[in-house]
Amino acid sequence: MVVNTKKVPVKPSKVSKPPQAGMLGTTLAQLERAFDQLDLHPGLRDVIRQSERELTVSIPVVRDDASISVFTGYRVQHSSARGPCKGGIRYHTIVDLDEIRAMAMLMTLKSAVANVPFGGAKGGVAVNPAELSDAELERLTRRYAAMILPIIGSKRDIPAPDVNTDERTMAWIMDTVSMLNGSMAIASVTGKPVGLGGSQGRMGATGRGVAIIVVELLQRLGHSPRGARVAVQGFGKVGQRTASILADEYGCLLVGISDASGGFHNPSGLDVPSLSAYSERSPGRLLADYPHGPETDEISNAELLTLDVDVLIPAALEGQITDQNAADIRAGAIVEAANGPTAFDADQILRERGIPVVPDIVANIGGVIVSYFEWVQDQQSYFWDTQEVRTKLQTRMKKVFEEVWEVAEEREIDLRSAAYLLAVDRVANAIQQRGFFP
Amino acid sequence: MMAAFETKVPQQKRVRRTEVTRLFEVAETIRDDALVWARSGLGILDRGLELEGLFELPRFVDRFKYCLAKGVAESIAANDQRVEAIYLFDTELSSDIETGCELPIEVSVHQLVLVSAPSAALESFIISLDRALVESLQELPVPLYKGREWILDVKLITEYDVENRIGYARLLGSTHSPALEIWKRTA
Repeated sequence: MVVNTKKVPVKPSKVSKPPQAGMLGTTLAQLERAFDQLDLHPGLRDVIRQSERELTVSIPVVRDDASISVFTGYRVQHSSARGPCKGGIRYHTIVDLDEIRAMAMLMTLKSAVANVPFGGAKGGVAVNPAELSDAELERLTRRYAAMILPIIGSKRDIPAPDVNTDERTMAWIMDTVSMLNGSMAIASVTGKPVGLGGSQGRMGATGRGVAIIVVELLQRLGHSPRGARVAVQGFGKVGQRTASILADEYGCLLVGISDASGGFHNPSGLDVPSLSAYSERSPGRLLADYPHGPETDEISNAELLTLDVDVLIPAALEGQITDQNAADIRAGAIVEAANGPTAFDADQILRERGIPVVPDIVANIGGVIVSYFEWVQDQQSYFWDTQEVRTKLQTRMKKVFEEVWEVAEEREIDLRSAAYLLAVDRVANAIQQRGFFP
Repeated sequence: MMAAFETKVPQQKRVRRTEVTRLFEVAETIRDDALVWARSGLGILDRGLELEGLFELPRFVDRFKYCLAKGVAESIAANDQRVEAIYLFDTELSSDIETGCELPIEVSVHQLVLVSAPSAALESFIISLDRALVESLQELPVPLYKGREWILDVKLITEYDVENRIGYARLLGSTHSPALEIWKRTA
C-alpha cells in the first residue's frame, strides 16, 4: 500500500445510492468509495475513471443474399498500467459504448484483484448473432478483428469470449490476427479450443474457483469444510460444478439447492451426484420433479435464500438478494458465484448485519485466472495438464482470498470494499510507478 | 408484482377442439420453418447432415431454438393485443465466466413477455401452444425432445416490473445476462 497508508474508519460505511442503476452503478459507487478510502490523489482518480483508448469501428458484412449490412463494433481499453489489456468480446443488440466502457473498467479491477499482469478491456459488436448464418458470423468476426488489429495482440490487448461469443469466435480472431501478421499469433486471444492453444481445465474453472473460496472462507470463520452446511442457488454450469466440488472434494453438506424450476432442502444433505445426473438428463436441465425421499422438502428460490446455512452461494442471475429479502437471510456468510447477485441496498443491510459477503470480483474470477494461464502457456508453447491447471488455480485463488481478507481486517472494512480497495490500490500504484509519459 | 408462470405445470385444456387442431398446425409450421432456417445458416459441410446429426450440433440447436422462439413470439403477440414486446433470455448467459459448454444441450425456450396487463386467457393460450409445440417436436426423429412435457418457459412481466427491476424483468437492463428483444409491437 504505497499510494496512501492513511487508515480510514469505515465500519459500517455509509454510501450514497449509486446514481446509475444496476451492476454498473454499483461498481462505480464502489470505485469512488475505494478512492476515498485510499485518499487517492484527484489526478489519479481521473486517470482511473477514464478509458485509455476507445475504438469504434463500422463493420461492413456481405450477407449470404449478397446484400450488405453495417454493424458497429467497439474495443475499449480501460487501463494497461499493469500489463496488456484483457477482456471479452460480446455480441448483442444492446451493446453500446457506455456499457463497454464500464465493463472494461470492471475488467481492470478484476485483473488487479486476481493479481494477474493484465489491465482491463472490453469489446463488442451491436448485432443479434442469432440472425446471422455461420458464414456471416465468421465474416463479421474476421472483419471486426481486422479493424481492431492495430490495438490488439498478445502484448497489447488480449480478447476473450463473453456474451454470445465462444471458442469458435476466438479461433477465428486468432486466425485472422495470424494471417494479417504473417505469423502464428496463438497468444493473441484466450478461450480458444484446446487444440489451438486453449487451456486444459478452463471448463469448470469458475465453479472450482468458487468452491476454493468457500473453503477458505469457512476456515477463516473457524469452520471445518467437512460437514459445513451449504446452499446453492442456481444449478447451471457454475452452481453445479461448485456444489459437486464442495461435496465430493471437501465433504461439505449441500443442504439446499434450487434452479429456475424450484428447489430442495434436506438438513442431512442432498445427494449431489444424483442431482447432477438428474439435471443433465432432465428437460431444460432443470431439477423440476427430481425424485426425492420424504426427508427432502421442496422449496422455492426465495426460501432457499433464507435457509439456515453456513454459506449461501448465489450462482444464478444477478439481483437475487435485495432490500426485500436481505433482512431474512440466515446464512453465516455469502459467496457470490454469479455476477452481481446482491443489490446495492441489500449489500448495506448485510454489512450492517455483519454477514460476510465474498464479492463476485473475488469469488468468480477462476475463469479470468485460467484465461491468464492460457496466455502464459501460449507464450511459452508449453502446455499443462488439467491437474496442473487446477493446482495452480487453487494456489492463486487462495492467495487472492487471503489478500482481500487481510485488507478487510487491516482496514476494518467489508470484503467487497476490501477487494475494490486492493484493486484500485494496485492500479494506482502501477500508474504512479510507471510515471506519466513523456 | 411480477406475474410469472411456468408452462411445465400440467393444466386442463381450456381451448376448444378446433383451436387445438389449429394450434397444432401453427406449432408444426413454427417447427418446420425453424428446421429450414436453422439448417440454412450452417456451414456447407454441416448442411447435408441428417436431422439426428444436426441436433447434435449446439450451433444448430441454438439457431433452431431461436427460430422457434420467434415463431412462438409472433403467435403470442397475434393472439393478445396486451402483449407489447417479447424477449429471449438464457439462464446460463454471463460475462467473464469462461467455463465453456460442458453440459448437455439445453432445449427449453425461455421468454419474457412484456404485457400491459397479465391475463388468464394469455396464460391459457401459451399453455396450449406449448403443448402443441411439444407434440410436434416429439415427432422429430431425435432424442432431445423425447419425454418432454413442456418446452416454453414463459414469464409474463409488466412495465412496473421492468421499472422496479423485479424478478426476471431485471434482465431487460442487465449487463451480465442481457435478454434479447425478439418481437415488439409497433404503433
